[in-house]
Amino acid sequence: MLIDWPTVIFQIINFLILIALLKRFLYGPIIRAMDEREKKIAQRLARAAKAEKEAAKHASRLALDQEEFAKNRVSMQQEARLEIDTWKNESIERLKNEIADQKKDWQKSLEDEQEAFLQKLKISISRQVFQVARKAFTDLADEQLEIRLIDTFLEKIEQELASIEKQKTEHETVHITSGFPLHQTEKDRLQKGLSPFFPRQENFHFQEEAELGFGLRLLAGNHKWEWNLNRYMRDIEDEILKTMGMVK
Amino acid sequence: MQLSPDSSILFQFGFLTINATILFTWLVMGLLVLGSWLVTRNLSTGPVLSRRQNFLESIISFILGQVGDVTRQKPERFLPFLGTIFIFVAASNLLSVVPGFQAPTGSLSTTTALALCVLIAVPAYGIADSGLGEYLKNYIRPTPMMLPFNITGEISRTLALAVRLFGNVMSGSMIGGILLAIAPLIFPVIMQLLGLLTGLVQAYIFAILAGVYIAAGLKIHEESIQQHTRDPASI
Repeated sequence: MLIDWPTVIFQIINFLILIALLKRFLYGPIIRAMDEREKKIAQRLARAAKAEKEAAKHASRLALDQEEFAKNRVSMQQEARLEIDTWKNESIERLKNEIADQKKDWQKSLEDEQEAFLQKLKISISRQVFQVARKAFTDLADEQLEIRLIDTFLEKIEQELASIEKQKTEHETVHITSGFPLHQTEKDRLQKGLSPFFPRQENFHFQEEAELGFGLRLLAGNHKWEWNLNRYMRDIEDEILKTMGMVK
Repeated sequence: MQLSPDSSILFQFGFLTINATILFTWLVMGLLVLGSWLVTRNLSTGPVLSRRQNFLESIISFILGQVGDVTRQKPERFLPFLGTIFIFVAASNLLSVVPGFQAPTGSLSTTTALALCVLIAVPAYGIADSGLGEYLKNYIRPTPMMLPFNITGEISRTLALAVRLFGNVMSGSMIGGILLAIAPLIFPVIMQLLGLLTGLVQAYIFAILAGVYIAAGLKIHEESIQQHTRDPASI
């Protein structure tokens, strides 16, 4: 008999034990691990799907933004151009005004300067003319002219001294200063002319002072009489300038 | 010449007899359990797997796929039974190339034991699925006249399961032995290698047939439920 029944029973028991052991050590752990991995993969896939969905959403939003930006770009550019143009025109206008103001100021100051310069020039020219004239008179002065000056001086001083009381001057020492050298004849002429006004004076005191120019000065006590060409010319100059309205 | 490893008795104490079949069964069991424990004690649930875990997972996936195809149901609850049949028979048959190893499946007692397990598992799954009465009614469908044929069918297919596996494995060893006597060099090696293929095929056939028988018990039940739902008067 090929079938040994006790062995059959043993093998049935062995087989059942093997089922239990393999269930414990093989199928259970392996199935659990596979399920867990499957779950993890499913989770990852779900996460990936979610991320993909979010990315797609993001992408669509970005595309919308981009489209909107492209749509707005033209109008934004136009606005910007308009603003720039306005700014440019305003700036140009402002600059023009500023330049015009500056130009006006400059012109005014230039005119003032010009006027001042012209005035100074006129004064300078007048003075120069009279200086030249003075120099010419001084250089050209000769004896005849000196005598003529002495005569003129005596004429004028006589008029002046006539109005002054004799007592006030007769005791004083008389000093006569000339801008040129006086010859004895000229001194005598002067002394003779002035003696009636200073009767107590025997000798007049004569002195020469080049700075006086072509002129004479008489000093008696506190009184001073002077006539010279420089002064005469300066008086005329002042008169002329006053007439021109250059000197107040 | 020994036809079965049952006859080589190693230890006997009254009814308790330890023969080569039982010893090699224990050996195979030990190897399977130890191997499983070594691999599954640190399993990875991440995307990176060890080679051994990958190997075991592919075997389990393969079995699950086959069982799912045969039963057309969720394969997890059949996995311990059908998977163990396949792994045990396959391991026993493959180990027969080891010199001195006598495959337990080459013993009619072992194959009978496995066939008896299938004989019990079929109604067990059926009753667990639809209840005792409903399952027993399958034997008298479509008419009570079919009862003897159904019972005969149950017994004969169990016998066929046992004898098919025993015959194939035993004949493989026998042919190897005979060829060794006739042509001692190359030819027995080729036959042994062919025996590996035969052993795997037999393991596959045994497990698939067991699955088919179990599924047949469930399928009838499912069909009867569908019939009930289609005919409201019978409810």
